[in-house]
Amino acid sequence: MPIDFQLNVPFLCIFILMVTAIVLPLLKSNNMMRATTFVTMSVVAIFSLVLILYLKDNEAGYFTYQLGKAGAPWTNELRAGMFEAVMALVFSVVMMLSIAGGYKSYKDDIKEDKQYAYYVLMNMLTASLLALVYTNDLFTAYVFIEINTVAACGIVVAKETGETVWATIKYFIMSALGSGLLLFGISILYTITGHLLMDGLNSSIQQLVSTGTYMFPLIVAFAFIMISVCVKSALFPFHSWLPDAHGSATATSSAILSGLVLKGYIILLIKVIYRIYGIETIATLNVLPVILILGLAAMMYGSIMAVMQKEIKQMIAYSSVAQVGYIFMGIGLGTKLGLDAAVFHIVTHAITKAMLFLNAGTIIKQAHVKKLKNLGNFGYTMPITMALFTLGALSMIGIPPSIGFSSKWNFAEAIMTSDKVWIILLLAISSLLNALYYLPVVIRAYFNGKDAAVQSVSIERKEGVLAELLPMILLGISIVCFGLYSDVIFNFISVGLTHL
Amino acid sequence: MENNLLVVLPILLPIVAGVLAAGFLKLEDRTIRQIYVAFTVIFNVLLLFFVLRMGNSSFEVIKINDILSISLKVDDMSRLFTVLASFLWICATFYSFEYMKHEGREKQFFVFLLITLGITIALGFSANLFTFYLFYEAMTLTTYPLVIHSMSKEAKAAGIKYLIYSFIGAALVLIGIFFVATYGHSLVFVEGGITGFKGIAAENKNVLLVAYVLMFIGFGGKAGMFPLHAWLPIAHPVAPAPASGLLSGIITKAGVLGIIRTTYFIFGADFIFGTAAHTVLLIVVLFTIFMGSMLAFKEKHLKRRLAYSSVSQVSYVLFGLILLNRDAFTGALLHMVIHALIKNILFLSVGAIIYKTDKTYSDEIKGIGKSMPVTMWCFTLASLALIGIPPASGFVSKWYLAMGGLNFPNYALGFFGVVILLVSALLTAGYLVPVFANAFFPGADFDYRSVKKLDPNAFMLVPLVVLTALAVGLGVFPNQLISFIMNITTSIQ
Repeated sequence: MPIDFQLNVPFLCIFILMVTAIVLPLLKSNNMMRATTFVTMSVVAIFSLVLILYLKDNEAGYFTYQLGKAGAPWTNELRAGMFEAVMALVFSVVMMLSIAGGYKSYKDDIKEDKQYAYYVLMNMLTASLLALVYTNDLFTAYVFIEINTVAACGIVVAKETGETVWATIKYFIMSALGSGLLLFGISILYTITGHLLMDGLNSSIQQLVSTGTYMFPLIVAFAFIMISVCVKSALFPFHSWLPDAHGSATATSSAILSGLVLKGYIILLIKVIYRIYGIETIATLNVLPVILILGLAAMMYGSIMAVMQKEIKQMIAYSSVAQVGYIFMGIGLGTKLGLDAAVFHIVTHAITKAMLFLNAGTIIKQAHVKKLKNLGNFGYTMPITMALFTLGALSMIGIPPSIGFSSKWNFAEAIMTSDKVWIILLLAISSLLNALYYLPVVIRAYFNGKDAAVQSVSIERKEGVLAELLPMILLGISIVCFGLYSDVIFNFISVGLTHL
Repeated sequence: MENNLLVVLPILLPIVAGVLAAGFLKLEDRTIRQIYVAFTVIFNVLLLFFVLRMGNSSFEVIKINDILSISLKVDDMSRLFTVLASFLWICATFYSFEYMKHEGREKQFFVFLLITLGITIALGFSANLFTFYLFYEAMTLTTYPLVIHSMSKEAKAAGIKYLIYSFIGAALVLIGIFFVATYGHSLVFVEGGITGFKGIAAENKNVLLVAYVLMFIGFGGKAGMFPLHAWLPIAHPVAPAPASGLLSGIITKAGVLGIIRTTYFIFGADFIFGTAAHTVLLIVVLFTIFMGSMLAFKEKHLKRRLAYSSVSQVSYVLFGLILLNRDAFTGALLHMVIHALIKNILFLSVGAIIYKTDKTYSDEIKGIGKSMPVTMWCFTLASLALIGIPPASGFVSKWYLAMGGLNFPNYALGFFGVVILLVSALLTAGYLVPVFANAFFPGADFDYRSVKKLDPNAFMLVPLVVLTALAVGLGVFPNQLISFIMNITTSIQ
């Protein structure tokens, strides 16, 4: 391949996903559609890997890529650095594993003749996520955020029950309001700067800040963008759509919603803070403490609410609310280490939460159990599934050598080197709260009653075939492996973020 | 030697054996199962001795980043801890072969017994705080099934309490680890304290002392120190007797090992000596000693009485550690060994009584010395040792502790400490003597004709007798042990 081909990778990934999405309805059978989706996403994953290897040796560390020749401010521009490439790789791989792992669930949940739509939505969702990761201008960002929202609502309502319809309506209304606010924010920024490309915006905003003009509109624009992102990524107090959406959706949708969709918007917020405004401007605008406080509140609130849940998926959903809080806390610290830790946690959460939701999906599908209190002795009826659930729980609590512990360690380093060392107590308390709701589930699964015993050989196995469990097992293995080798991943992310 | 893979074997063997027994081997027949477990435990001890004789080997399992790595290292402290643990494990295993027939669910018990052995040895071999923390958390998880074994309501409630206190303690330790990593830039155990802490600035020192107190309290929770002690009197009695013996004997010492490593191998005695943190912790430890003995004195349930006794006695060890001088440290390590032996004897004999007669309260066992003479003799000798009557072993350790206390620069506090030790010794006599006194001399209205020979069979008796012989023998011939321990304490001070 000529050396310049790698530069096309970001665009190509988004493009082939969209083409696949358009072409899919023309294919004959659902199985062909599934195969095509996998092929496309594998290609995207491989391309992302190629990009990572290319960027590793590239001295500049990143490159920009213009789509079309119209020139600023109207072109769409993509920018790819190590950070974006790693995110793209993680997103595409987790997406693939989620679709594979939840196949048995969504095969039954979604009507046969509507499944093509599900695959189309999956491809569009991946395309828009990658676009949010790679974008370097606000126009592209807005377009793909809208696509993202619609696709995300679509995959929730794909399982057509009364609950999901109601949950999707709620999600769509809140998300639409968020999109509206985002549009306001972008419009304000365009009006006062005349730019839509992020680099142009940055230089323009620096100018404005140095002369002190338009300070109020700048703050308002940022506030609108921030609130919009908070709504769409389910940060407390705008999280209320998430538990409902999760409670009824099919396993793959939940995994992708919690694991990937929320993160796309957070990545956009990171770009707005660091690339458009610049961290010094943000510091003078004094909005970081707000992000920090909301993040801390989400950490506590999510965990406390999770303790009170009675259903498996609702509990994991509230756990997501708490984990998103961790990410915002990392961003709110305002330091490089905080940002590195936050992005690392995006990876951690994507892997772990996807696996937990796939587990929940398997349990619901194979054993028809939705409530936590009915999970007694599941360690013996579904050994592999519960073993993976235990691994995920230990990772969420933060027990080494899982990737969850590495994440907590990174956060602790970031907190200790900032000037807000007291947050470490909240970090410890939230870990304990995590233990408070995950451990009882694990205990109930293995040590339920007098007859529960390791020695009982006559318990019927309700588990599925190994092939169905393979995606979950792969995610589980990566939780431990990435935990042990977290240094490598963290370095990639850290280097990538210096070029933000 | 560096990178010696064999170091991992004594850890892996019991864990693998336990996991295999759990899911993959058909061990339904009791005899085969017992042979499997016995073989594993004994072979592991031999493997352990082989490894320990290879000099101070080390092995880095995996390096996660500059500060975090899972590394193992053998030093004298490891030798003391792992040999003690393995030996007690053999005794507990053989005792359990007979005792667990009465409890049921034996396979589950032995699986977790084996896995915990592996993790305990791993704790002893840990070369840095991260590895130690990793195995410390794992140990909580693998001892939990031992605590809730009987699956009764009390057992499950006790299990939850155990988990809560253990995790809170571990969280405090983790906070401390964060501070140590940030200010000291290293988590590796170094004799005399890590170099990052030498010559540290004064403002940082105060923050680090707070971290030290948190770690002491966190590790102290597993060791039954106030304020995180409340789980011990509930969890130790509810577990089956051999498990209670191990919990009181070795698992509490895991907390003690944590404190030893933190005090002498991370912070260094000079760092802590004379600070306010030093005084505060000393007072808390003395309070625990007194409180434990008082509560044991008032308690009627035999196993709970022994549990409160553990709260008090393990704090003797902590007292020796926090005094931060060589004699006290020697006494602490001596008492760590001796208490482990004695507490196992006490719990195993009480277990034998429960096994044969189902009696659990101190006022129910009048005259049992007539029907179970060997058992009660072991109990008596162990009690005398614990009270500290020469030439029994408890006396030797208490002697060193007292010497350490009197050598403490703050004379008032040191003297007060020794007084507390004496008062506690009196209380110890008060809660142990009546038990064996009533057992052997039940009084006039006891029906002497109803006495039957109730001593349990060899599986249970032999470990008891061996341990008792050791407990007494170490009192009469303590020099080998003392010189080994002096080796450790002199090089660290």
